[in-house]
Amino acid sequence: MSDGVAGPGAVALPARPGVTATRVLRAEWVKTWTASATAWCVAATVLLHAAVALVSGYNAAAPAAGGLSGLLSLGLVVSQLPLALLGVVVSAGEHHDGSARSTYLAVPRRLPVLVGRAATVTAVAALAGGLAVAAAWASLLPFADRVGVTLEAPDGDLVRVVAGTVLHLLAVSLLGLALGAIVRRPAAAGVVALVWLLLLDQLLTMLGSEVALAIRAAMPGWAGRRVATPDEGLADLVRAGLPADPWQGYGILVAWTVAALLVAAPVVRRSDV
Amino acid sequence: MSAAVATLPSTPGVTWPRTLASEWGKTWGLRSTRWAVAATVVLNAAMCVLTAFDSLVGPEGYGYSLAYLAAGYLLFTQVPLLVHGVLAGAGEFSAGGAPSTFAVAPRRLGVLTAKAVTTAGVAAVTGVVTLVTSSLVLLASPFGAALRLGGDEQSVRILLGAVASLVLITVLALAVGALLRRPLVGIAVMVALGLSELALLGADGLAQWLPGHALVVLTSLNDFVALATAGSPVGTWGGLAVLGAWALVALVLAGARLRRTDV
Repeated sequence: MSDGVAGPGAVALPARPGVTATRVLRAEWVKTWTASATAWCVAATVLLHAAVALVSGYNAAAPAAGGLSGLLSLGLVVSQLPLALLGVVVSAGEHHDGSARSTYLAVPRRLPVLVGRAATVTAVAALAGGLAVAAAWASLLPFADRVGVTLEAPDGDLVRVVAGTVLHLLAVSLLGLALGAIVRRPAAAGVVALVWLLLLDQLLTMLGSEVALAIRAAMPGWAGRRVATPDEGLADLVRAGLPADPWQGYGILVAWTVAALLVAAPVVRRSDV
Repeated sequence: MSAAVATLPSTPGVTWPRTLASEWGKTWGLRSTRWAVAATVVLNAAMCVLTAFDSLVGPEGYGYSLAYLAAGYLLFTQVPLLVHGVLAGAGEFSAGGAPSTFAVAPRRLGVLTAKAVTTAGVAAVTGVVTLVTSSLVLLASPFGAALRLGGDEQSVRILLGAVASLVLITVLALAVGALLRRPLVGIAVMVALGLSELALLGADGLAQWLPGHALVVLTSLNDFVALATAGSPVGTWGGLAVLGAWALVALVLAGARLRRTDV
């Protein structure tokens, strides 16, 4: 302006006032991408995913089950956890540090905030998933001469498994987001996410009874990972008499995620901050 | 009324026993502590019930050992204690109590050691109560009559080893919490360290140098211990030393950060 109130580079008010969905999305987008937790969680996902692929390929005495598809999806058991925790931090973090009040003062309808965060977290998870698979593949390249490392996917399932890996990470991070929005305390919601996605799976596997395996098949972590399981692994599940349809499994994870988001929506809208 | 009023002590000053008394009181006054203890006891007993009604395996699958059955699920059921340890170390930084605590006890390291002793006490109490409760549940189950708790070496190793591992890993969790000062990050790290065993068991020589290994080896049946420690420089009880070294290093790092940085 000519009277010198706003210097060069100053951000002017938009021509039209008001809270719009795109503006909320932009605000949440900037907040999430500039938080250090986001960078840490993406880095942890990529490192864990690649490390599992490399360590298991390097040490195995026989070619990996499912070939390259198997190696590229093996790390999902652990690499899903940083992204689930990121979802928790994105939605519960502001309740912890007190900035939720400013956020909801600026967006009194509140639900656009949840939608904006969901969109942002989806983008972060897609990036992290893509990087994780790429890093796992790249880390295997120099070790193609090891017995356990194969760079071919003979069953033709590579596209489904890689896409499934990324899709699983997307859904899991949204599940974390919903848990954080419901519980609002980062540590408590984080414990719920870790127990639900990791511990319960392992515990039910260890119990191994028919009931335990039936419950495990309905849990989001185990069911969702079927979409990222190579054909050979799915055939093993069929032989063991367990549900093995990859997309049905992913449907179970998506159903849990949608249900959790539907519970989160009224909590976000109605509870005091 | 006057009987219930706490009077000032006759000699003023900050002493270590007083710091310990206040940390002990603060810890047990927290809801999260009572939840963690209750969750560990109940979860472990529930796992024992599920196992004891597993007619497919029968008691011979568990070596007829009461101690092994009671302690065999601690790898999973230790998680509430790990969370408790992290919260004991990081909770005050996140909830805002830390400035008051360190204004009262400016030397700081006394607070850390008092917290460590308190946490060890909570873990020891929880471990003993968990094993006793689970044993009683198992004795009342269909397996009960077939199970033995002799004074044999295996049972002693399992019971003592379980409590000692729980104490040390909970102190490690406290130190990790005090070092990182963020509850969620600390919990993620401790779950990863405590349960890395699941991913690594038998995979290579790395597992024995991780803090979660002692509990698994010490609470296993003799056959498995022989398998897991074959060719291992750490051995059976050496796992406790490895775990103790982890806890000590983490405590020293947490102490250094506590002394040198703002709270």
